[in-house]
Amino acid sequence: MTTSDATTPTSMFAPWMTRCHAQEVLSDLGLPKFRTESWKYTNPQPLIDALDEVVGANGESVSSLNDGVELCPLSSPRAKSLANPKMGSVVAGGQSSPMLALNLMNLASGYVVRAEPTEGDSFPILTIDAGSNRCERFLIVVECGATLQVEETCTGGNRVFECVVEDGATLNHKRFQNPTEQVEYGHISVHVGANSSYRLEQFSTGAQVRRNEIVVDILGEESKVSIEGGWRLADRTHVDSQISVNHLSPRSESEMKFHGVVGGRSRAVFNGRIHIARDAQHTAAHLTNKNILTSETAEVYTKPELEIYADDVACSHGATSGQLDEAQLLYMRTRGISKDQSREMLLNGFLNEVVTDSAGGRLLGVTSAERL
Amino acid sequence: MSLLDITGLVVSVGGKEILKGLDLEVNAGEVHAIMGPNGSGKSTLTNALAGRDGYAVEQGHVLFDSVDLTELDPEERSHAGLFLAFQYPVEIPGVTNMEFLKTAVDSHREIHGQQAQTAVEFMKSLRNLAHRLELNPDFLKRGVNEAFSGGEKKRNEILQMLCLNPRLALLDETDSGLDIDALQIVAKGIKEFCDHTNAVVLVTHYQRLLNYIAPDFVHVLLDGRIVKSGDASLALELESRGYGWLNGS
Repeated sequence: MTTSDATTPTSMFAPWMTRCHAQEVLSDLGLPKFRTESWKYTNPQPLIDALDEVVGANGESVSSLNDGVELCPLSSPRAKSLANPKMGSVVAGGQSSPMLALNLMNLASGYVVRAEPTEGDSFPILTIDAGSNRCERFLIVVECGATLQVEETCTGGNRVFECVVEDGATLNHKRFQNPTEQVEYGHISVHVGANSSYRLEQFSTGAQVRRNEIVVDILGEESKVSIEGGWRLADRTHVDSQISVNHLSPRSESEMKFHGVVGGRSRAVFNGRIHIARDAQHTAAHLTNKNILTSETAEVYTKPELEIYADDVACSHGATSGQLDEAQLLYMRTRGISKDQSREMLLNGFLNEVVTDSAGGRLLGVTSAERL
Repeated sequence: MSLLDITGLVVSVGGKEILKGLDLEVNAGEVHAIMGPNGSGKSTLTNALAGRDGYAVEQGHVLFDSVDLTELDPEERSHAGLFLAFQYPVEIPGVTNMEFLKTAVDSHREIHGQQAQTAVEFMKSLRNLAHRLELNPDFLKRGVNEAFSGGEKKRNEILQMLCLNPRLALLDETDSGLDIDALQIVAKGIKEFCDHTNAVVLVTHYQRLLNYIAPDFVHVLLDGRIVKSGDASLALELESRGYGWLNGS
C-alpha cells in the first residue's frame, strides 16, 4: 500500500460496513506518522507496510463452547442485523484513527458475535486463535443480562474489536499475545452500559512491533471495568499499549494495572489514561504501571494520565520503572536462595501480582514451581 | 574452636570508617547481647556479617567455624549456618511466605545432601511453627512480609530462623516495635531455639528483651569498638546509667 491509494478500499468484504468515513479520516489525517503524539515511541510504518504482505493464507479460527452465542461471518447477509447499529463503522470508540480506517479499508475477515442470556451458571466461551496478518474485525454484542468470555490468541496480524456490553451484561476478554517476529496491530473499543462489567486480561510477549489500543467508554451507571495484565520482553522486541478508560456516567469503577519485565534491547511503551467527565460523580478509578528493567539496554516509556472534570471522585495513578530491588535480593540471599534463583523469584512475584490466569502466567514464564 | 571469631574488624561504608577494630568471640551454647547507642555501629556489624554490598571489610578477620566469612556470598553464609534477623524485614509482594520458605529450606537441604521435603511434610512443620509463634496460618499464603504488622514481621523472622535452624542467629533489634505480648512470643521462640549446639547474638537498644532471655555475655559497642563486656548485670547497669559513663564523659 502506498499513501496515494490508501483511501481506496482494497476489499469490499462485507459491503454493508460503510467505508466513507474511513476514507474521510484517511484523506483528512493521512497515514499515522512516527513521532506524532500517539506514535511518539512506536514507528507505525511496519504496521502499515504489513497490510501489503499477507503471510499465512488462512484467516482466524473461531469457535464457541456452550449455547447462548451466535457467530456470524461479517460477509453474511445476517451480519448487519445482528450487529449493533453503532457498529461496523470506523468510529469505533468515537475515535477518528487512521489505523482503524486502514483496518476497515483492508478488511478481509471477521465475525459478528451476539451473546444471549443463558440459564444457570454456564456462559459461552468464544475462542479466537491466532489469525493471519489479514485485517480482521469482530463485532461483539453482549445482550442485557448475558455473559460472554472471549479467549483470544494473537501472533501478529491486524485485528479490531468493537464490543457493546449492554445493561447488566458481563464481558471477560482474555488475551494471550504470543512471541512472534511479525508485527501486530490490535484495537479494542468497548461501550459499557449500566450495571455491567467489562474485564480485560492481557498478557504480552515480544513481537517485532506490537501495538495494543484499548478504548473503554463507560456509558451507564454503576458499572465495573478492570484492565489488567503484564508483559515480559526480551531481545529486540517492542510492545506499545495505549489504554483509555472514559467515565461518562456516575458511580462506576475502573482499575487499570500492568506490570512489565523488560530485558535485552526491548522497548515497552505504556500510555494509560483515565478520563472522568463532569457528570461522572462518585467514580472510583485507579491506574498503575510498574516496570522492572533487567538489562542496561532495555527501554521503558510509561505515562499515566488522569483527567478529571467531576469534583467528587476517588482516583489514583502512578507509574514506575527501575531495577530489581537490592534489599529484596539481599533478604532472599541471606536465607540461602542463590542470586539467580532470587532474581527469578522476584521477577515471578512481580508478574504474579497481575497474573490471575494460569495460561497467562505460563506465557509470561511465571514458573512458581511450588504452588503450595 | 569458637563458632564466630571476629578480630580487629574494620568496616567502612561510603568511605567512612564505622567499625574501628571490633573483637568478638562467640562459642556454641552461648547467648550474647550487643548493646549500644544510635550510631555506634550495631547495624554496620550485622550488615557486614550478612554480606551486604557497600560494607567493605578493610582490616581484621571474621572466621565462622574457621571459615573466612568475608569470602562468602550471602547465600553461602546462610548455608554455612549464619542467620540474620533483619531490623526492618523486607516486603516481597507476589512471593508467598510458603514459597519463599520452601525454596530457602530446599536450598539448604540440597547443599547439605539431604532430600527435599515433600510439600505436605513441609507444610505440616511450618503450620506447627506458625502455631507456636501464634501466627495465623493464613499469613503463610500472603506475600513475604506484605502488609504485615511490625509484630508479625518480627515473628516471621523468628519463624524463618526456626525453619532454617542455623548455628548462629544474629538478631538485629528483633525486640524493637513489639508490644509486650509479641515480645514474650518472640522471646519464647528464641529460647526454644537455643541449645548447646548453636549460639545467639542479640543486637538491641533496650534491656527489656533480656528480661526474658538471660544473656551469658553483654557487650557495649561504642564508636565502632566493643568497649566493655560483662555478664547480664551489665545490661541492667546500662539501663540505669546510660552509655555516657563508658565514654569517659
